[in-house]
Amino acid sequence: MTDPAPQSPQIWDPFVRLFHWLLVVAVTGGWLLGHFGPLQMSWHFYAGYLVLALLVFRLIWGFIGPRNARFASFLRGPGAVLRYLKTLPARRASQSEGHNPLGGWSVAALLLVLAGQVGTGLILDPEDYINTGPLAGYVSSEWSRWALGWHHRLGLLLAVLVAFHVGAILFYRFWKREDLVTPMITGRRR
Amino acid sequence: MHKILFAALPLALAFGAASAEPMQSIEARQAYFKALGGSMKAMGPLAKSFDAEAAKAEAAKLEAVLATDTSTFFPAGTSDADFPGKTRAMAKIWTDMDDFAAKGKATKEAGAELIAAANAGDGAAFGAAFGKLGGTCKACHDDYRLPE
Repeated sequence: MTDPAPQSPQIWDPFVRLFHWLLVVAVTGGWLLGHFGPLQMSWHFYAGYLVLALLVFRLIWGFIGPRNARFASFLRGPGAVLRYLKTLPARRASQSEGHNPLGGWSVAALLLVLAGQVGTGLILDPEDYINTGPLAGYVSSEWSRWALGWHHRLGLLLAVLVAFHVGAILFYRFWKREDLVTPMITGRRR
Repeated sequence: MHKILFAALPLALAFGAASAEPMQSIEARQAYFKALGGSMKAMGPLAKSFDAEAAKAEAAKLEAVLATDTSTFFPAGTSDADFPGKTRAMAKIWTDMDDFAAKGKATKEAGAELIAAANAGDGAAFGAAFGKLGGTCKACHDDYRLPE
């Protein structure tokens, strides 16, 4: 070892990174179990509870976490988003400090859809008497039915948003030659 | 409420069977599934903590529901496309009728297992059969019933 390389600043704090990868596991697992899992959906439920816990953490962290984790720092106005959009086709790294103005809103969209997915999952009733949402008994059957329909639709929307998310990472990697994955693992740019 | 449901069931079924009117088939099958669901709902707690006497009593009701002749329940022309808002039975039922019928048969078989377990006073078998019966509900709902 020679001199320690000058470290680039930390972009993602350890909790954001842990949150992100646990969310990947919970959402992927929950989605696959929901579509292809056993008829008795206990593990789908557990995945959902993990998503719920992660969302609660992320909501709190969005107010008290480090700068890049805070909603106030990454949810930008339409002007900032438009300015960023204009730079998007350029073949150079964005070098955004944290979420870029567009990515910030994509994070918000993902979190909102996940919140909807958890909420509808808790109160839905598929009328199979083995996979009833744990809170279905507290709402009317009309609401449980409505929730069932939306749980299904939001699941499809979630797949689309995740595809955009992964697509964006590939776009940055191969078009803009910017590695977004390493910072989510180590916290820093390579 | 269950009593009313079970009392009304044969009437609704007889009505459905006597006539080929599509709406009557729809109502008859809905009464059937409602009775089946009511039976499941009553048995849910017993699957978690078994009570031999209560299970036996519920099994007798389920047996009556499952004895229903369901062969007239899904005549052609009674899908959600024909009666939107009245039924959630997807048109796919009639294109995949063999699979749909097999799934219906699986429900009756799992139901028979559940009844046998209840009558034998076997709590573990009852729990397992209840899960299996619920699974047959889900399998069919997933493929053939509109989510809402």
